[in-house]
Amino acid sequence: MKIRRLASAILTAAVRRASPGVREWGNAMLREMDFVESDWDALFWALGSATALFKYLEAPMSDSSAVFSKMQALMKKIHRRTLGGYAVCFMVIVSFGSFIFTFHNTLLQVGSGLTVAAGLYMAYQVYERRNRKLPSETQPSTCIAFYRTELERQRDFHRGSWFWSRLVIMIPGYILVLIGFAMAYPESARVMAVIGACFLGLCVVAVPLNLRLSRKYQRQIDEVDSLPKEP
Amino acid sequence: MKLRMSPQTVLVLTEFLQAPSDWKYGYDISRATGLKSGTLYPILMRLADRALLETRWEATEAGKPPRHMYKLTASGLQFARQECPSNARRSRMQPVFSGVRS
Repeated sequence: MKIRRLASAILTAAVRRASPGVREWGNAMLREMDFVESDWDALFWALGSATALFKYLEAPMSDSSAVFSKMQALMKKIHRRTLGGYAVCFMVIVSFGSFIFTFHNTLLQVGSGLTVAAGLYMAYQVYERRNRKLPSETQPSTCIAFYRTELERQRDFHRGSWFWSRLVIMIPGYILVLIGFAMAYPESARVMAVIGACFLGLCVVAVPLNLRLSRKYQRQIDEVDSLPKEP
Repeated sequence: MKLRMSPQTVLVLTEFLQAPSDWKYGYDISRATGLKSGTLYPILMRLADRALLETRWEATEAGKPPRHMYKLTASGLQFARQECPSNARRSRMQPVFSGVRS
């Protein structure tokens, strides 16, 4: 019974946060959940439905009037990512910067220095791809051009030289830090090896995730391109 | 805009083609096609967006919220008949959910 209540709470919260255009569908999913017999199935139903409601935020546009709201949503998303990116870079720079002065192992210091440089480079990338001010004109053609350019910028952030340089620059410094740490404190070598493996694993996972994101942006660009042209 | 004809969309359209004049509930379609809610509803939304699917709310027992029902529109029916190969109409996936709660 607790599971069903949890399922109901998840889906109710998702419906409440859904965009107005999709809320009707959310209520439909919520009502259908009453007919799912097993509590676990109800939970999976709720999770799937919540995902569907979330996906609808990326739903296809039917005409150019939808561009403005899409553009606003994209800018909000980029704004959140920019702030998150700055926070991560700040933490990387401060923590690894402090390692340079705290530890006296050369390898560790060099690695920390490289990681700080990588953090600065990432911060630069985040800054370059930050959210831009929305156009003051709300004419569809202006909005479409702005939205398309932004989508292109975000697509390129997740692929090509922008993405690969961001990924590659982070690896050597961090690995040197781990090696340096393991040399300075041999008892921690195994832990460092595990951390290193996890880090490399994350780097590997980041590749398909970023490429998937870039493809998503490309699909949105294609959608914009397929919108009927204004007379 | 053109509708992307994924195998899952074909399954949903095929399910509607089983009894084109009947209104269907989302959960029943999910059981019949084996599609989970996260896959099924985006397909229904896209079909409705393109006016291929008609929706309505059905009042059920007193005090209970109504249920959402779906049926292909005339253009939806035509589209489904064009796009769904006849062999797909016979092959169905295993149901995802085990039963119906009354």
